[in-house]
Amino acid sequence: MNRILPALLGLLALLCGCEGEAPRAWVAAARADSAAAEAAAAAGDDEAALRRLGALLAREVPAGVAEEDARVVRQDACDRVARIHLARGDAERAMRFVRRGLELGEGEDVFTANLIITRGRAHEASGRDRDAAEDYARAIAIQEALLERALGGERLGGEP
Amino acid sequence: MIEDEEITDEERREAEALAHALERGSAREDLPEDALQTAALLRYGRDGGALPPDRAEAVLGDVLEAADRIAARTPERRRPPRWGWVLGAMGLAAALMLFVWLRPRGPTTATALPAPDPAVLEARLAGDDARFDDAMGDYRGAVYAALEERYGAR
Repeated sequence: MNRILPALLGLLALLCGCEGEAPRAWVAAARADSAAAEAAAAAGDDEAALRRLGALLAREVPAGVAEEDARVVRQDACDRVARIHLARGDAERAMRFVRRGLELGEGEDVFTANLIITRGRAHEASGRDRDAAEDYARAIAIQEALLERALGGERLGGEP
Repeated sequence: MIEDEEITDEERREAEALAHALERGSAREDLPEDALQTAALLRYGRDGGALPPDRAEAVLGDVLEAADRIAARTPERRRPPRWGWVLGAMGLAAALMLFVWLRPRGPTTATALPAPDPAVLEARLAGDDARFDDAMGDYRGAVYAALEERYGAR
């Protein structure tokens, strides 16, 4: 028992430590994928960028990460993938990633606005100008709200 | 004189028990009380009750053998098995894990993200991809920095 008790206490400490480790690891991995995709895209290597963004999206969000935080990270990745496909002329595939991103929820922020603009571009590329105009109008409304907030010196809510 | 065929099994057992008592100086369970007394008187009259050395050795041998049999039949005091501790420790560990994983937690609130540069959406709406990529890259970096600060990834 003299050996078992310290072992159990150690296990408890380990479990408590692991609980905070998963969100930390998820954010670090997402940032690494994002940065690598950005560098690859800047170098013109769209395939490498898609691989890293795909890895980011495939990674399960651990418990302990706020839903809104996961949304912005994943919506950003979805928008970047959609833009690559749109630039290649594949509006349908681009639209799939836009939908996937917007299914995570819509916020009044840059990430949702980017997806809506990309959807407008995909509509435009597919000849659906009216749908595209509606999306651009929605994106402009979000931009105005963000400007108002920026002028008011507000941050985007939540925990520091 | 009693004829052999008239001797019953019970009488034969008693006679054997008596002979044993006379020979060994100890009585078996099946020796009747009166036969036991007879044997004792006979033995006392023969040698004053003293046990000859060879008989004493034989009796000691019997006693030691009986003692060994008794010791062999006595169950050892049951000790809790060693693996009982292991099972107990595993149960305790499982309870601790359940406590850590299932304890009530408050809702996780969103991180306060930095306000974006207005240039981000301006560039995007204007279709200026190069400017958008620069501005968005900076903003993205600021967002990840806020997330890392919140979740302690640095």
